[in-house]
Amino acid sequence: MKKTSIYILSVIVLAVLALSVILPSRRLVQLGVETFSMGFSQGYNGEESEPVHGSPIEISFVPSASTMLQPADSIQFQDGRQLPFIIDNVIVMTPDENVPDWTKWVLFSFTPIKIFFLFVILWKLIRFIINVSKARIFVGQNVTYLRQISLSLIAIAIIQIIAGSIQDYIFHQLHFTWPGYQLEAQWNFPWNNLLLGSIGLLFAQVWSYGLHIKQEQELTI
Amino acid sequence: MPIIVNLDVMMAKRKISLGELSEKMGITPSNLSILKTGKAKAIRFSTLESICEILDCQPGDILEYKSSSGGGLEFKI
Repeated sequence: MKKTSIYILSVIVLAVLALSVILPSRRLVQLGVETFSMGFSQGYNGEESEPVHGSPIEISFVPSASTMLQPADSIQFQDGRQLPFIIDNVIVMTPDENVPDWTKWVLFSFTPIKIFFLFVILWKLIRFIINVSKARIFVGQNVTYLRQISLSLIAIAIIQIIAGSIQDYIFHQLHFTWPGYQLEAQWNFPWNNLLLGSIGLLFAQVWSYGLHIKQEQELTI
Repeated sequence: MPIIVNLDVMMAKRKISLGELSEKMGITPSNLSILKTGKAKAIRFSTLESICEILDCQPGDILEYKSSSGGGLEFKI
């Protein structure tokens, strides 16, 4: 009965995991296809378009007190109404000449490294769930998988911290200003990944202890 | 390990094989072999009782304690 419920729950987890990867990816794939077909069509028809050169920097606009109370900017809707708005986050295409070369190369190199770690997490998680579904629960392999998943999460968090620090550095070189707002480089400290990675390492140690108890039990005659 | 299992000695005295003893005890030969070779981490009272009943012996005939330091006091000058 317990083995059946473990199997059913494992199948549900795998299904949810597959959907969580496939569904968001569909929009990215669609965007890629649209961009490609638009570029191909323009090239085939001989249209010349100016590609946007620059490094995207996300900037957080923090409104001053007076801006919060009386926003200076307004937007016109289709019905003619002018409604005030407050800027939140903006992605600015910073000209290449304003961004140090080394930062571009470092940030560019982070993408394949992050993809590698994401692949490791996904693959090891699938192998772990398959082991559990076969009632192979307290085995050394599962302890290894949990450690690999946790360390990969922590590695991604470290990469995000370094990338965020580099974006901070780039932003401070640019001296952007905007009336009524304080501007800051926008990046989220990866608390989620660090927390999940730490909990995962703790879980791996507990699992290892469970494996030790199981081995002691097997050697009790 | 300080606890030594002398099961093979008693088995030889009673002229009983591993397979025969495991069958009478109702456990697998591999499990009994784990006990005989000293790889077991623990033994249940029910198992010890079964061994003593079949081999007609006392627990002390099967289990022996040997201190890992070799016993006795040591003086260093």
